[in-house]
Amino acid sequence: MKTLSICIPTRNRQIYAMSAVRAMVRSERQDFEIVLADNSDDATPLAEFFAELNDPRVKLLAPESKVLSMRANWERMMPHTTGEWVSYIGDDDYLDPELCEVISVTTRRVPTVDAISWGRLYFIWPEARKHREVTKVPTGNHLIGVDKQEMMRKLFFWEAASDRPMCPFGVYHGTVRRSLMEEIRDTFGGVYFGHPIVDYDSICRTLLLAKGLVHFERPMSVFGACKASNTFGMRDEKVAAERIRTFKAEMDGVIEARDFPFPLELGITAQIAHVIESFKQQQGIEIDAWEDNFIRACANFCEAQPNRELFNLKKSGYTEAIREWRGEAALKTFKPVYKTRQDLPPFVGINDKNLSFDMGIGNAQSAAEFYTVLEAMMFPIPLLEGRLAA
Amino acid sequence: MVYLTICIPTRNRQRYCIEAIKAIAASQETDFDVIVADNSDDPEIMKQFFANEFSDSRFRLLPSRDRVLSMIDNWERTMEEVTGRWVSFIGDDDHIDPRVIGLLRRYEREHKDVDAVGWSRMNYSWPDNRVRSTLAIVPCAHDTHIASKALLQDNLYKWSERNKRPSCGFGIYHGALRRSLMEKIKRKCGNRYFEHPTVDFENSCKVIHLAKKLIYCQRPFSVLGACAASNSAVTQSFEAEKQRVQQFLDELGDGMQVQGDDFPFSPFLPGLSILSGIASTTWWYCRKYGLDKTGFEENFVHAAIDHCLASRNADEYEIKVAGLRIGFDLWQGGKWAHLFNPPAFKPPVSHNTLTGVYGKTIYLRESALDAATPGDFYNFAQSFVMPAEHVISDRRAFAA
Repeated sequence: MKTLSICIPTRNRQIYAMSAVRAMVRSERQDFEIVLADNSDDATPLAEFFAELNDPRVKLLAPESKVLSMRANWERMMPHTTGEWVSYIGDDDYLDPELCEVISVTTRRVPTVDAISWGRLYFIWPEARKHREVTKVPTGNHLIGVDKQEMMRKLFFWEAASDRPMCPFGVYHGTVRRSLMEEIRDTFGGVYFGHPIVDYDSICRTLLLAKGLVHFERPMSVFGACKASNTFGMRDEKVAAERIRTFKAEMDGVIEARDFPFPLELGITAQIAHVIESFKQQQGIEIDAWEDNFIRACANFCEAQPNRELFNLKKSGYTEAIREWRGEAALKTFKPVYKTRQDLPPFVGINDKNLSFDMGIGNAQSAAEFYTVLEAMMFPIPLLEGRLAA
Repeated sequence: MVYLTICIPTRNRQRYCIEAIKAIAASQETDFDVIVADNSDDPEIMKQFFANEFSDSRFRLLPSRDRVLSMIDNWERTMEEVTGRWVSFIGDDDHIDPRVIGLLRRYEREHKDVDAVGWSRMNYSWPDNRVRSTLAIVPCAHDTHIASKALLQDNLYKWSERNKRPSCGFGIYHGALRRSLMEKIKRKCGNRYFEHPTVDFENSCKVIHLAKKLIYCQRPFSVLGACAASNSAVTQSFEAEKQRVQQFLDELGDGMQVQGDDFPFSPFLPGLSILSGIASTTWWYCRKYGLDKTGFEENFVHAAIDHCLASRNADEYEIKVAGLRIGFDLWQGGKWAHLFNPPAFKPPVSHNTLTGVYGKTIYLRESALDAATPGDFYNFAQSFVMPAEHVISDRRAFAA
């Protein structure tokens, strides 16, 4: 049995998926597998790539006769995985197979662990980068046991949220033990993934049922954003609206929660809130005193806008939604202040346990290359066991 | 008169030197010149390069003379040619960013009497010098400090930190000095710019003694390269060390010696060339110019122990300890030998594999780097060190 199944669902972005797979199979490890679920209009590119690759660690699921929703494409992968642990990434992302070593070290120390997360690394593909981008990588390298109650507060109560809840556990850019995935399926209506926005749905499900949470501070994967990605789309209003239309056309199920009048066009905070609300409504979870935290996250989202025009647009959108949702009084918590200083350059260097650096580092042309460059300057995974033993 | 003169003394490492020249020549700065002082056995390679392959009026070649000069004499003749207001020396397998001119101008604006500027350096091993796993090192802080001469003198003359190498951070080698300071050094120290064969440390001793104001910038502006043929490569193997020490001694000028008779730690002892080279230099300087080095003896014993404990394995440790025992037995009638009691050696769990960010420094696995030269590596590292223009303008405000 493999230690890890890395799942890469893809649709019409074959070259990105191939780039990630090519880099992963360079690993000498034999204890991981890659499952590619192709949901593209044209099956040929990945089929040819797969034949040429001829690596027993890679499985390809060909497109079905009709285009699947993202959720269904994620769902159909699980039965084809054999790993004791499962992880999903996007096709323009990257994940280091050395995660197997992290899993093995972690499970020896904490046998009950069933969800592991790690530090985050963001990469905008060069063709989608209009100007110099400075990004951050966490510099820590500790394995940390995480209190589940604290995570529940962060996710369901939006405690200390930025523009989104600070809970990294789930199958997307995290890894979940197979037994927990099966428990998730059995608990939530016989499917692994329920909501069209699969990543946050997975976070909710994972957190509710997980028994042991461990966070590794060092990044093990890269959140990529190519020009065609939803992440990239969020940077432009028109593109974002178009992406939401396409997404809705191709999805199954319902995104919006009941009685939650936040249009999806408002952006990531509203979208995530719909996932969490839907989950709570379905599971009959009723909690109090989370609203103010959520409203603060809405303000944080507005404050993160790159220019005043967008700030004003989002501010009025959220103002209207909050008023409709909880009345005028709820707006007392909603006090976004425009702080973006386009005239100031970004900080570069080490500060507050993060290294801020130019995304163009090493002229990386792909998420995998980006990770390779960064890997040479992060904590070496082969030393993890030895350090814990010391 | 240019603002900064960069000096590159070189001997028989033309390939590296040419890369260093090209990397510096890529700079858009204009107010600097570069003197390449060739001391190679074959003068033709550099002559041909300057005559046919390279054309840049900022660069000037001092060709090899008809006989090989000692390193110190080659440095001396180079310094005699300097016209810049400021001067800096680097090795032929190193790199320096001429934008350091902007930093010097800033410090001169802020402190009229500054005459010595130091900065952090990156460390980089050339691809041919990676017999074992190696790490490149990039300091990532960017603050400015006005140095305390008293503290620097404690560190360098008395070895008060008790580390295997004393820290200093100032000197003409990978630092910049006002030319007037070098003239002062010449006036006060034997009518020469350089007197002792360990040129970098002898100059540091003089600078922290005679400079009026010393300012240090944490942001790196140069790269200490280590090619297979470099002195710093001696840390890779005892055999390489032995060869380099012999070559160094063979090429010393007449009447020159590395160690004083009263400091019997031979650089020939395996694993001790760098430690004894530095210690004999600071010892020599203090004695010659009558400077207070109280406490040096005890401190040096501890530094020697630290040096032994920094070994890669038990064999290396034993060899170093044995060599140092010989030295301590001979030194001042064995007066300090009883203090030299290195504790039992615990081999390190790993050597040169711990990459990552520790404090404000980044360690990188060199075998994974694309950069093929120190110049390439410096450019690569620009992605994660504070941009030079912000350090030069003393910017404090950044976007959230």
